[in-house]
Amino acid sequence: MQGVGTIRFVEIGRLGRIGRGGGRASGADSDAFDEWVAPHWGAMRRLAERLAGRDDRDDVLQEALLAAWSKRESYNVSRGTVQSWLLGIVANQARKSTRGRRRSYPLNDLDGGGTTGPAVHVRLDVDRAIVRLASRQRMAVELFYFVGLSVREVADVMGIAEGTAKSTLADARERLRSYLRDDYK
Amino acid sequence: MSDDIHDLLTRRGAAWRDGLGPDPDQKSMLARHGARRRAPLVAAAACVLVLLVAGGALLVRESSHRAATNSASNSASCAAPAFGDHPNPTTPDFGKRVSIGARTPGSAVEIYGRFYLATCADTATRGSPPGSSAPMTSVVLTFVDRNGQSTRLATIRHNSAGSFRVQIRIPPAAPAGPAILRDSAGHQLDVTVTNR
Repeated sequence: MQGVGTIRFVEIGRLGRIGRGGGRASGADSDAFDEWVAPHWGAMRRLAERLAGRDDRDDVLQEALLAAWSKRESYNVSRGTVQSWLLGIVANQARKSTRGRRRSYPLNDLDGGGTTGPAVHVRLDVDRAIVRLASRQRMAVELFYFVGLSVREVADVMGIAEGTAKSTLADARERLRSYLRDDYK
Repeated sequence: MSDDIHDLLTRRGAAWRDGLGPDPDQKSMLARHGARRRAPLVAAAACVLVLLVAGGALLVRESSHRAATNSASNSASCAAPAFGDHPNPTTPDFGKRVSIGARTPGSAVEIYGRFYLATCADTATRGSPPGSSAPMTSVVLTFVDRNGQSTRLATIRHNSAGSFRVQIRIPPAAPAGPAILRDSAGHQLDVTVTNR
């Protein structure tokens, strides 16, 4: 994953000057915004797909991009990295998208379909158990194990201390263990 | 046990990421988003435009219909026949009587008439000119004294527009009192016969 330090203040400043008024991204404005988002696009995509499912992923990403574009001038580097800011927006959009149907994701949306790793029935069991987690625990698991962030980055996205992120992950694993006890004890 | 879960999740996450296809195109997604976001606004604007155009067309149609009707009415001029003792007599309002005043027996009176038309093309269809009107024929002016005695005064000779001018003479033997001048179509003028 590309480091957030590659985003320079001058780029953020350029973004702040251009396209004021929240209009449609176009021309140089859009190019600058794309460059700004590009290092984090993969993580945004992974988080959107994990939280909203494959079918709604693109809608969530589009809404997140528009929100990021319209709010770009409110980004404050002292409050967090660009990555944590963008992933926070994706998480919010996914929450809006899946509001009221969190427990009803099609499991094949979560199943990555990879040929390596656990067998299919294990993957399904794990995904089913993850969906049952409390929202904060699930977010920590998704960000750490599936999006591929470090504990520090997970803490940034969730707006919590690094130690809290570690304990949240530990609690989530304990909860998952209880859910999967019959299969893995 | 927790390490087992950690290992399981780590392998599961790695496998999931490996199974992902390519990322969607970021630039096209942002560009598409603008159009998608504006789609309801565009649709609403289109509806408003359609309504405005349709409403405007109806107004134009109604306006032109009224214009045609007004034009037809003006040109056809379907007022009832009017006659009197001065040029350009007007059709009296319904129920009102018109008087030419006091006249002595044997005096001459100029009588003018308008709108003595046999047909009236006061309805025209849009795009078609109003129909032509034909003057009346065989219009006779009659004097009726207070005793109901009738005297034929003149046969009206009007032009093609239904207007005429004719000089009549109050019958010399007419008794004093109220009398009328009447045409064969039933229109009439009041006249008072005096001996002075």
